[in-house]
Amino acid sequence: MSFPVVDIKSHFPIFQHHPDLIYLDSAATSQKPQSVIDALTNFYEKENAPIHRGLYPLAAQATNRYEQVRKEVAAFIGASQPQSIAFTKGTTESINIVAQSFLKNKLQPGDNVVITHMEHHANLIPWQQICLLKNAELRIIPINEKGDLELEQIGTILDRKTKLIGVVHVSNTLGTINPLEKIIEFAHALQLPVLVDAAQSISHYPIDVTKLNPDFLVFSSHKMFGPMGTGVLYAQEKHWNEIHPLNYGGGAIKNVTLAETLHKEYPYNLEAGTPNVAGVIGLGAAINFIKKLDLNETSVYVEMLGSMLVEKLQNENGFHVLGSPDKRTGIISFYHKTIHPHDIASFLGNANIAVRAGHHCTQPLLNTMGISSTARASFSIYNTKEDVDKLINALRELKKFWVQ
Amino acid sequence: MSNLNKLYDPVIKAHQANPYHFKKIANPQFTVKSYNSLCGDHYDLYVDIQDGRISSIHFYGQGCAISMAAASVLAQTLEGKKIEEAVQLSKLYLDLLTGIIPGSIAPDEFNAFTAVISFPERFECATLVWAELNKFLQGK
Repeated sequence: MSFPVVDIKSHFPIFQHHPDLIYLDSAATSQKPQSVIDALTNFYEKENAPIHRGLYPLAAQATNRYEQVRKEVAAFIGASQPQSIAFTKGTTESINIVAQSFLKNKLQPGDNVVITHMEHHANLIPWQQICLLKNAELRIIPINEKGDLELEQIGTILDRKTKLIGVVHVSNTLGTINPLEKIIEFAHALQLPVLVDAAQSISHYPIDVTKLNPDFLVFSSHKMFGPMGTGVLYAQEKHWNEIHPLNYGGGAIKNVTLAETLHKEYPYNLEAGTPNVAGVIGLGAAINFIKKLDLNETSVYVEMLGSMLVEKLQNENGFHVLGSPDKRTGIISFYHKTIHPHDIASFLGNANIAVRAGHHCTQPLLNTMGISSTARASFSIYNTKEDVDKLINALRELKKFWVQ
Repeated sequence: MSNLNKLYDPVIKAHQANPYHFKKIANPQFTVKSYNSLCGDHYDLYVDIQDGRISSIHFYGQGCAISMAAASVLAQTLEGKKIEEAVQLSKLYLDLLTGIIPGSIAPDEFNAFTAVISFPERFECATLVWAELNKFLQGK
């Protein structure tokens, strides 16, 4: 397929500083294009000022730039109202806000929250903890041996006591692309809110919240070519007045006396303290970078790299690929029958190939599949078919190193 | 590749391929658990102590070559030792791998692991079972 990878790769300075680096860990964090790095530097060099309180031009400009990104994020995910977007520290914080500030007070003993068996810890622990606190039940939509959700069971899992469904769009371990439309349709028929974790999909897949209709959508800037420490919570308007502050402090208030405080409304009630303004501006630059790509093309491209790796691994004696979901992105977990994933990752690291090894923050998922850890290669737009070949060659060398 | 050859010293490769007393024990006197939450590696050490002396150590679990070899060397080295000796040896091992003491005074089998000093991401693999056992024995 014709995808201008060479041109794209030249936008990422990390590859100029590490010309031999084969970076296959984008599911953990993506590399950053020059335009994002420049946006951060530019802000601190030329535009640095506090937002939402200064009355001088520099402060007004910083505020405008920050609020402009809110509009850009909203437009990027197809949300009609910029105020549906709250800036957070990342996916994890966004989910914690929905758990702590939206759901916790509504949850009664005997209620339940439903998630899937392939959630990473960020979309498991926040729900698990409020369920423990409130004597509620955490219910799990199981997966089959291929790594697809067993959606035929959803009818018996959801009931009148269900208060929210949390589901990942793309699994960070199996690469499974979940049929969100089906899940959301089913949940909405029962008038249940759905939180979609788009951390792994936002960089390569088009998402339109108006069409998809999730109640909440969360993602991180740093997995979509933007800076670390910034993320997004999108919430539908009908929930705005039910989302209370998670952190209390300045910047999120209308009026304060020593006795009480009148808080601003969503999303401003979540942004107490001086937010990560540079991070948000960097996120804006990342979105502008993504907008120059065709997300229909990038999704096909990373899927193609993923299937190419799967096919080649299947021909390599001793290696196994975890799962075989119906639809899979370019995130591939694999393991060897005798060589431990850590020893695989150290070996590959020595050959300048960056992969992740471990449980990928999905311990319950791996436990079910009977293994404690895997190696994982995850692809992005700056990867090439040659990267797949080099990985396979290195894995052959690895076998020689270990099999005397 | 030379870096990797250092990390995977022949001693480590030999112990990984054929770990000492690697089997589940049904009713051990003591079980010392170790778990690396970063990677999911986990081992149980089965320790029997008689008259102040470690009469046997077996172990079972899952992990990388380095953690497997570390547990294997531990079992082989400390079996038959008095508790005080075992505490001293495990302290020696941990000090050696943190670079506090030079390799010249340590047994060869310990020195095989010193490459982790230049692979800090693998430090836990080499030290976890030793640190847990040291903690356990200090409480005896």
